[in-house]
Amino acid sequence: MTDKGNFSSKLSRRTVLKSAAGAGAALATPYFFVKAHAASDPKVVRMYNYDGTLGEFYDKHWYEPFAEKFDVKMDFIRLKGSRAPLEKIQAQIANGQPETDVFPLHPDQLIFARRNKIAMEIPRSAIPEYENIYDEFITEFGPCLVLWSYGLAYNTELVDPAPTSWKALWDPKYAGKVALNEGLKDQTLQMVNLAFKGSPYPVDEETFKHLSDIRPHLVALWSSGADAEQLFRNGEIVMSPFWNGRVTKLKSEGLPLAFAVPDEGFFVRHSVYGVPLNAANPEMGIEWINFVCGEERQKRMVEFGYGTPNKLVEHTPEQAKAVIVADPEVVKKAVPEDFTKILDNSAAWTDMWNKWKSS
Amino acid sequence: MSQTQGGNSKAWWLLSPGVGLYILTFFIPLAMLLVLSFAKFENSVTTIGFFFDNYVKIMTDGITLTIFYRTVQLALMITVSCLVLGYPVAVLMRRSGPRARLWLLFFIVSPLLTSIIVRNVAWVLILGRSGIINDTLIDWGWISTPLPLMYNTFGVVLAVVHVYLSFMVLPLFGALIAIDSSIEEAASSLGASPLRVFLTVTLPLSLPGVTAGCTLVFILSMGIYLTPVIMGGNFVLTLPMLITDSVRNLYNWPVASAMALMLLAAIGAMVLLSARVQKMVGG
Repeated sequence: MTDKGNFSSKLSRRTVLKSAAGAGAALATPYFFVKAHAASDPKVVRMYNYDGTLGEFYDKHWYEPFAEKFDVKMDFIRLKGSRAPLEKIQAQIANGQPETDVFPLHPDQLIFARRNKIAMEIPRSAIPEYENIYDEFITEFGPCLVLWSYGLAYNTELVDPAPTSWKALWDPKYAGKVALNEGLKDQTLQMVNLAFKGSPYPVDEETFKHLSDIRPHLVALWSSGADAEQLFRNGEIVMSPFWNGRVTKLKSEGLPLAFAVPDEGFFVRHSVYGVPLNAANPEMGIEWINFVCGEERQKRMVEFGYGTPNKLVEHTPEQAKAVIVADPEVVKKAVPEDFTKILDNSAAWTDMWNKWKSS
Repeated sequence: MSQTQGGNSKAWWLLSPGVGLYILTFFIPLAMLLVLSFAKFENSVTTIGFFFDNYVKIMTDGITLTIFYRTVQLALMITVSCLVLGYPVAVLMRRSGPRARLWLLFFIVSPLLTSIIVRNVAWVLILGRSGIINDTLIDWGWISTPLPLMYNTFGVVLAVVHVYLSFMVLPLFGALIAIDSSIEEAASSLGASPLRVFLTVTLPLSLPGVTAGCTLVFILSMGIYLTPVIMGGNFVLTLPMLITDSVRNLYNWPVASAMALMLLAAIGAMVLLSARVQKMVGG
């Protein structure tokens, strides 16, 4: 028998499977150890955080004071964009444990979480600070915080007169100097309808006809707030639909930007802060939610430029102007969005959107 | 005999970490992908089963196949651009001395040493409406309005070629350096012009390198995601972008799995084709 023959004789299925199983077990051991460790440590609270100045704000005003007060360690996972990776969280819950103890949910994500039962129901009694939160901002999964408005951001030196309508984006004067939001394309589609039909729905051929009209004017379709900021900073665009908080931030950097609320209406959204099912440390997650609902933390958020649902927070005239939604009455004036419709139609709208982009 | 057998048995155990890693990170996820691709997604809820809905959707929605063809088209454009730009560089590297060769190698590989975000932002500063090129041309009075150098297919191809050039040049250089220069000298001494020497000797002998380089670049290009987002301004759509959107924004894992398998099948077909070509050219 040759050496080659000897070697081949060892190439049995059993040997290979045994080797693979051994290696698999060896590789998986640290994973289960880390997972078990995370689950058993009540002094660690795991959170998502954002990039940029919003992330810095969370660190300084929402996370560090909490860690100090409750003597816990905060572990962070940076979000890519503004949305929590629900697809990943859902898979993690199905296989054991989610990577954080709290997650922010956009309104459409809230419906997805409800349908798929991936968030814990939090009884009102678990959050004493609810006492100072307007009722309409409380859900079964948590409070609606970080109220942001969606209107038109424009360069005050290059756009004259100031825009009063979403239709300003279609003005040939600004051809090649405007951009639209791809990241939240549902909001873009509703905006187009609002501009030309006076109502955000239905999204149909006519909606895309208006998008085709603006197509030659567009520099880009931005995916995240950071992308849009860069387009404004580089002077690539002079006008785009945008969030008020980002405009406040760019203004503070010295950019000649302003936020306009179009006559046809503006949009207001928020994040519901909830605890994912099977979270390692749900008690501290709820404690954190209660902590940030408090007047002091919400005041800081208003100073940063986003609205609050806390009744006790008072606004200076400048703050009221920056946050747009300084009281619930203003929120009521926002365009009502049907998030069930948005979630249920997002696949069809995405197909139409992609066809439009590819046309 | 027992000693040899024992040694071989140990050799198999040495392979086991690699095999285990492959099973854990490739074959098991692949099997899950296959199962998920036949699942149903309705009212935001995924139901495991044996449904063909996702494949039917891909074939009939009138957009996924179009984007798939465009992804292949884009990958081919990138591959051809890399070949056209990379071949002369590889020839130059072969003819250079060790020091110059090292510099060229560093020059070619350097894009891989920077992060993709930094690279793309740098391209924005160069190619943007208010970028270096447009500003300079406007200052010189050569153009009055900025040239559309990015947020289109040109911008995407340029940014990807910049990085993937090294994956073309290195196999090409490997094939070229392996050619016995005395064969080319013999052709020259028998009266062949430099062009004839290149076309009849150098190019045919370097074909294994061409095939390897083209395969690598094509496969990598089929998976590009971030560069089209940044450099294409989201107007240049690729299948990986569609897959990401399906998972991240639509939570539709089943259809994303079916699309991913479609992409994998296309790449597999390319690998098979490449292996066949390698066999034909004697690589």
